[in-house]
Amino acid sequence: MLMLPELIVIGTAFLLLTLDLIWSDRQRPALALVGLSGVGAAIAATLTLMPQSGELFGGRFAVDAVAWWFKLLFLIAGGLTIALSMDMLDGRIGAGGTQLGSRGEYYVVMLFNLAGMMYMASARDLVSLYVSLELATIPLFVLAAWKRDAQSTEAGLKYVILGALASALFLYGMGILYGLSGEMRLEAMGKAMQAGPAFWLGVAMLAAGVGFKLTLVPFHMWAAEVYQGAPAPVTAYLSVASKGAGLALMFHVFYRVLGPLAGHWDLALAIFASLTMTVGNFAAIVQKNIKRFMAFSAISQAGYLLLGFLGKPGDGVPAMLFYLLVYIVTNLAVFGVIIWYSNHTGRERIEDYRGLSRTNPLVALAMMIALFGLAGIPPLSGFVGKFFLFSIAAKAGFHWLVALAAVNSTVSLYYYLRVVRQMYIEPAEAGDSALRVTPAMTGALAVTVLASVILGVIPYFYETVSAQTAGWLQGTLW
Amino acid sequence: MEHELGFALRNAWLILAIPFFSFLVVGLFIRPRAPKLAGIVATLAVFASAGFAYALAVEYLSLGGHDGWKTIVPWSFEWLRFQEHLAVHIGVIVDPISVLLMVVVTTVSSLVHLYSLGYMHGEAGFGRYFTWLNLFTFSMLALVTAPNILQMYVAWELVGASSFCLIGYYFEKPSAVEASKKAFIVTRFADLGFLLGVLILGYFGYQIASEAGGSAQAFDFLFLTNPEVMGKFSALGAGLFGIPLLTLALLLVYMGGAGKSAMFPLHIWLPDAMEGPTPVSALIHAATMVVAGVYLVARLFPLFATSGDALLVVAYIGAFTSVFAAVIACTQDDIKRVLAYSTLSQLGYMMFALGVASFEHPLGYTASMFHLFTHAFFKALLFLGAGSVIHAVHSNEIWKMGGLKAKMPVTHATFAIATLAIAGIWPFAGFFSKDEILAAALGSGHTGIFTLGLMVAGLTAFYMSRIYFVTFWGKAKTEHASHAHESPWIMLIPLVILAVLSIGAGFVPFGEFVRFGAAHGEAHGINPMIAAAGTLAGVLGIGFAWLLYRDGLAERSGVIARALGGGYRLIRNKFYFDELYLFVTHKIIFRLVAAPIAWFDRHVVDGGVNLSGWSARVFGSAVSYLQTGQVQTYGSWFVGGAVLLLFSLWMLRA
Repeated sequence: MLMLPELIVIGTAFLLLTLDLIWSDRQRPALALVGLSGVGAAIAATLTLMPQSGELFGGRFAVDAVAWWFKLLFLIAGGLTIALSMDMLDGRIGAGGTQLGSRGEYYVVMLFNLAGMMYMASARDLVSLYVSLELATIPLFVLAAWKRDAQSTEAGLKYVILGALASALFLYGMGILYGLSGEMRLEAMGKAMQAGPAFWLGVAMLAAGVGFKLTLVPFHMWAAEVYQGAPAPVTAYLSVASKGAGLALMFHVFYRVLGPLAGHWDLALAIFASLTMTVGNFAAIVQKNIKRFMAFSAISQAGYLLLGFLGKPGDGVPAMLFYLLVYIVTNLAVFGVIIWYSNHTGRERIEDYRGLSRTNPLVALAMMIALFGLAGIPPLSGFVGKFFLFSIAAKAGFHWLVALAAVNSTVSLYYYLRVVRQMYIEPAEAGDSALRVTPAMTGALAVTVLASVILGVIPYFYETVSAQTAGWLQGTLW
Repeated sequence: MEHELGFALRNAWLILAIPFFSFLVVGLFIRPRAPKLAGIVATLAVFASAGFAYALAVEYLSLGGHDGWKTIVPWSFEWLRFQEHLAVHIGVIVDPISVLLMVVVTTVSSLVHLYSLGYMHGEAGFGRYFTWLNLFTFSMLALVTAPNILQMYVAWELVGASSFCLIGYYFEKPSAVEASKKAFIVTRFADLGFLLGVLILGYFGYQIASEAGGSAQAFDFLFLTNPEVMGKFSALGAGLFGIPLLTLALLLVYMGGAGKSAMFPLHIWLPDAMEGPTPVSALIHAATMVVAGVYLVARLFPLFATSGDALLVVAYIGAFTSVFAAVIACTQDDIKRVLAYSTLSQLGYMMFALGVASFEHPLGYTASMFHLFTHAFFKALLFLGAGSVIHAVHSNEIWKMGGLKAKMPVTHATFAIATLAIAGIWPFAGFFSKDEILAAALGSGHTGIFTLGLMVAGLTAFYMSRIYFVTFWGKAKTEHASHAHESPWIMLIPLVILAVLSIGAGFVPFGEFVRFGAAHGEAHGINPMIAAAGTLAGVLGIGFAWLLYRDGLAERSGVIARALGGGYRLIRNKFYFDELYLFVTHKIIFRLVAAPIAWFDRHVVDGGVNLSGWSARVFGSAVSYLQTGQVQTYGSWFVGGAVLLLFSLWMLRA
């Protein structure tokens, strides 16, 4: 029963494979709906099972409050991405050449990836962790190259090569730590180890692997080209779901493997957090392509997320989970507009958005709200989420880091405003007329934008996350 | 205590939600497509909130008040917690004065919305107008229902912003733009004081709250006006220049209130604000927003009374403003400006009524709120009546009107009722509230203020009758005036309703409902001596105006004006206050303070800003040059990063 959400997702994937075989081309647009219902059923299952905890397979697969939340977040991100992908795969919309074929496989690969992430959140020993991590990564290589033009292929290839490198390092690190501790179970490893040079080597290698998924500087280099080259919905998925998986992985490494030794990390973490947000932000300033721009924006957001590791888990865990939720909906709102715009016009430069507020005022408004949310303007949820993260760093005594993060938020406002300026101040080009918004796109945009506002205004969601995860890890490690 | 609260009280958040969502829906979705519908939806929404406010008032009244009215906060939620005792809450406070203001605001607002449907008919920005009007209604309700001073401050700025948008509604007219800027800047300047006051109260309130423990919140009104807390506040001792800290904080808060309520010397924005559409003047600049300052002082009244000195300042500034503005009102020719100065004068009345109140003599508190209540109706009526006249004559100038009595019978009758009400003639509403204010001033021993108040009563009757006679009596003085027609019914209905309220509002047993402390000993009722004196002043004023202006001509008054000579010109030019401000700002502040700062800003600060922008770009480009696109480079960075990570873990291990 505890594995029900994963099983639903995998079952849906196989169902899609079969339906794709037997359905005619005219029926295939409904595949997306089947995929969406599968994800919806998995969300429902997750919500019903949510307060329970337990283990399967002799403790290799376990669920607790934090694992449920991660699964829920992945499912939300996956479901929204499917909704956002429909237009592109539909083939009836767009300025020629942007739509992709093979929609059945697309959803199948995405669902397998989703299942991998969900398994990873529940993995409790080295083998299941590594296997699920690979399942959560390899399908992404395929998705990044889906468009099969020069850029998309380049993206896929680079992603594969660097992903393999990261994976190798991660595996090496696991090997070293296994050798040191003689333990396979994540939670037992930290307790069985002493902090020595070999230990640090192993940890550094693990962290490099995590840094790859979370796009921490200097392991972020792949993100720029992969984000730019991949099809827009895949970029959206990479920026939220894959980053969420990175965070889940970091939770495993930080709270379970390091466990009692994690306190040694604070200063190093603070330095990497500050590097990540600063480099990401400043590089975003000079970007011209909006997907590449969002890549750097996403890198800097990962830097903010790291702040949550500085405090006590009781504060940090809910703050990070909440921020991940906020970030997923807000970033997907921005990507929704990007996907919609590039579907229709095939254009991806920031200047191309000029005058959008004249031609499609409501879409421009959605984009503006989402961008302000990412910048952290009150009362939007981005502000509240950042507020909790920053206050954790402040309580842990890292005042310089909070100051730096605040400066970074200001810098980020500058470049988010660049997009808003194009939409609201620059005049539309002559002959630009309103672009059609399909029902799927309208729904996805409305859900994400409303969520990104409501999460900030109504404290219920944060309180729920906080209440459910408050007792997490208590009694086991900390 | 655990009463079963009724539907309206349990769902008190609706009072904010209805106008807010209607603002969003009207502004975002309806306005761009169907401006006509926008007006109707906005109006319906405000009527709905009015209905809700009445339901809430009835439920609150039925809770009973034999041993003083309870203050309840039926709905509140924490939005952000800085730390224990210091969190941002949003909520609804329900006590007699907030219920009073909810009723007044929603009543006047819904009538003004209805009136505007007729008045603004055919204007280009019809939908935009109703969007802002809805935003204003929401903000004003958020202000009056604020259970903590922080929410009040936020709503305070929101009403300021919506007032700015509405004064500048005719944004193609330079004078309207000037006026909106002036209003915004003057009130913003005053709000700086408010913010400082809030910070001082919050800072010390936090210390007191954390000593006390429990669930006390530093910004809550219930906490701030708790007797124990007030005692600790007054024990804080001297702050700046030997002024006690509490008094200092309250004076700063009062500065915000004085700005919004246009007290001397921050009054200069209100007459200019008449550039906005007339219904806006009626709603915002007569009945609701401008009384926010009075409401603020009333809300913090226990604190003000504890300080004493702060209250005295409120009293004297209020009394001075009321005389000062009344004198100017006698000489103005623009009907809306006369009404604006009259508003200033009446606001001064409410302020000094609060100022003369104290723990021992709390009658002024009741009187001030009573006057706020009655004034809202008759002043809104006067403005809407003036709007009806302006609509017909196409001019604001009273000397271009005349003889409208027969042509606009409904407008005439309602305007006459409002004039009698503001002049304080029995049985109209103004009589009762004015009488109570005068009684409060005399009863608390402020004889000087009482005398001034009596004088203002006479002056008020005079200038109001002056515009009444000149506008409606005599012969039509222009082409437009002679062809004037009565306004459409949609504008007349609000006039009639407000006229009824202007007559009936005085008979509300107000003292039972709004009072400070337990059932007070001071007799509530008509003191015959004071009533006689007040009525005499009013009748004298009206009589004098009748002598001078009954034929609607300026001849007889011109004689007096010439006899007064320089004094008359001084008053007519509003004591040259605008010129004084211009002189001080342009010649002194701009030249001696602003110019050097501007130089410094342009050369040093801007230079610094440009430098930081430039360096950010250079850094950004440098970072993106690292992004070579070669996978070998990325791989090297990756491995290098892992080594760096190892070293940093190794070197920085704690």
